[in-house]
Amino acid sequence: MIDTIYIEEALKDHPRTHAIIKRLRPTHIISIERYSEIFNRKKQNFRIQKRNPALILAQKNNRLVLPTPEGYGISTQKNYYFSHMLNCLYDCRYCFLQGMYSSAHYLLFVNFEDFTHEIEMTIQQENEPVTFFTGYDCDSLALENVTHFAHEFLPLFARHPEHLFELRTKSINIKSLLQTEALKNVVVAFSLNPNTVINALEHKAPSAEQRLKAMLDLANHGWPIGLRFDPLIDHIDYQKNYSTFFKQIESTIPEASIHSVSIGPVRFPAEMYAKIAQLYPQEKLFASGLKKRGQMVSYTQEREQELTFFARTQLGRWISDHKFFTCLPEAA
Amino acid sequence: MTRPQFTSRGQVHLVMALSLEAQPLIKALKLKRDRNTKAFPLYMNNTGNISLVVSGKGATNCAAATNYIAGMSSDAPHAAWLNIGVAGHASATLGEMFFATKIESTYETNSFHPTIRRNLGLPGATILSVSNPTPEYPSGVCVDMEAAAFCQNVKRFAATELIQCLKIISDNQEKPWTDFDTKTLPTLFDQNMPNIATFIEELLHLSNIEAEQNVLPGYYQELTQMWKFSQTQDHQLQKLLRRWETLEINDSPLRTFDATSLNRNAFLETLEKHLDTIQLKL
Ligand code: SF4
Repeated sequence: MIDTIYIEEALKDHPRTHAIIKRLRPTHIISIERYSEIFNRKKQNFRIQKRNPALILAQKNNRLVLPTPEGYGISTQKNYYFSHMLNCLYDCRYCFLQGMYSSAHYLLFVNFEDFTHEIEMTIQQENEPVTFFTGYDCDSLALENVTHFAHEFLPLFARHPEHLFELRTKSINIKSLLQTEALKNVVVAFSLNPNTVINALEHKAPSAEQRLKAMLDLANHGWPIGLRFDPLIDHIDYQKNYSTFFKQIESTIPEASIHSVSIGPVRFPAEMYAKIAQLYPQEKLFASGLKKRGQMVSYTQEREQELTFFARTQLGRWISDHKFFTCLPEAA
Repeated sequence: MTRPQFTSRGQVHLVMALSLEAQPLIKALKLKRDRNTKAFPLYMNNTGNISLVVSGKGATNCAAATNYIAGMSSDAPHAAWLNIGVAGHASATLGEMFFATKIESTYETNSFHPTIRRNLGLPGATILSVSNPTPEYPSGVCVDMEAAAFCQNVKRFAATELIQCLKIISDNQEKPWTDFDTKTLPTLFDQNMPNIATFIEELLHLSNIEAEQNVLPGYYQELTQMWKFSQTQDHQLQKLLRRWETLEINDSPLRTFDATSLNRNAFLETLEKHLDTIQLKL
C-alpha cells in the first residue's frame, strides 16, 4: 500500500517511527531534514502524486491545536481542531485537501505527546466544555492500521469526559474502538452519501453498506454516532437516492445511538475551487451546477436550500430536532 | 532552423552525457538523428514522443542541453524527463542499475526528491553529484556528475513527478574509475535495456495521462473557425466546451443553438446558460 517512507532525521530513533516501519515494511526509507523538503513544494503535481503517495513522518512544533473556522461546531460554543495528519487514503473529488496542498503524500506528525500536551493546556484555559475535532485535514481512521492514532488518543479523551471529541471518518477501520470501552464524549462521525455519489466521487472509500455496518457495530458497542451529510451532492434523482439511503440508515442505526447530524451542501472557497477544477478538468462534479457566490463556489442559494431542506425534512422524521447542526462556511 | 516534431501527447526527453552511453538506447528505441538540430546531437523516434539528447559530460553541459530541449518543446509541460548515465558506488556491483530516490550535490544546497514510482523492481539510491571526478566513494550513494544539474534545471519547466534519474554503476572501490574502459559503456546499457525500456514506458504513460487533461475539447476547432475569440473568450470557450463534453451532451453546440443569429459574445452566454440548466448525472 505505502512503499516509501520519508523520515525526518531527528525522528529516526523515535519509537513510533520504528513501530510504523515494522507495520508497513516499506521498500524505500529515505532520510530528510524537514518534511518541507518533500511536502508542498513548488511545481509538485497533486494528481500524479495521488497515484502512489508516500508516507512522511515528521514533527509538528507549533499551532498544534487551533480554533475551528466560524460556524463549525456541534453543540459547544467553543470548538478546536487538531491535525495529526495531512492528506488522506481516499480520493474524494470534492475534497478540499486537493486544493490546499500541492502534495498528496500522507504527512503524519508522530509527536502525539505534544498534541496531547497542547490539548490538555487548551482544556485548562477553558472554563466551559469544548469540542475537539480530528479528521479536519485527513480521515481520522482511514490509516489507523498504520498510525494507531485513535488507539493512542482514546486514553486522553477518556480523561476529559466533560469535553467532546469527534473522530470524522468514512473508514471501517474500527477495531481499536471496538476493543475499547465506549466513551460517551467521543463521537464517531461518519461522512455519508448514497452509493451513487460514492461510486462517482468518493474514490477508494468504503461503500455505504460497509459504513453502515461499521456504524452499527460501533453503536452496538455503545459509541455515540455522528451522521455527516456533508457534502450533499445535487444530481438527477438525488431525492430518490438520498431518501432510499436515509431509510437504510433509519432501519439500521437506532436513533438513541445518534449523537448529532450535520448537513451541508458542497462548497469551496473560490481560490481552492479553481485549483481543484484545474486538476480535474474532465470531472463531472465541476461541470454542473456550481457557481461563484462571493468568496465561495457553491450551488445557487435556492438549490442549496432545496437540498438542505429535503435532507433535513427526511431525516427529521425520525431524528430529534436538537441533534441537527449545520456546518457551513459563509457564502454570499 | 526547423523545429523537431514533438507529439502533443505523452512525451519523454532522455538526457545522456556521452554518445557511447546513448548508442544502445538509440538502437533499441529506433531513434533517428534530427539533422536540423545543431547545438546538441538530438535523436527522436518517428512518433515524436521520445527524444534523446547527448549533452556532453558535467553539470554545465547537462544544464545547457536540458534548457535547449525545453525551449524546443515548451508547449508540452506534460513531458517527462529522464537522465540516464553511469555512476560510481562504494560497494555496488558493476552494471547494477539504480533509480534516484534523492539527489544531492556538492554544488547545490537544495536536494531533489523524485517521486518514487511503484513496482519498478529496481533498487533506489541517493545520488551525489560532484563537479569533478573524485577518487572518493562515499558509502551507500551513487556518485555522478550530472543528475543534480539535470533535476535543478528541469524542475523549472516540468512537474517534480515527471523528473527521474537512472544510474548504472560503472566503477566502485575495487575497480575505480581510473581503470574504467569507456568501450565497455554500451554493454552496461545493453544489459539494462529491458528495465530502461520499462521505465521509459512508465514515464510515457504518466505523461500521456497528463497530456489528456489538457487536450482541447471537442468542437473547439469548429467554433474557432467560425468566430475569432479574444484570449479571455478563448479561455472561457475552452472551459465551457469541456463542461459540454463532460456532461456528455452528444450533439455539437452549433447544432443545438441557431448560431447564425448569434455573435460570439451571445454564443458564449447562451452556451453557459444552457450548461447551467443541466443537472449532474452520476
Ligand atoms: S475522506 Fe475526507 S479527507 Fe479523505 S479524501 Fe475524502 S473528503 Fe478528503
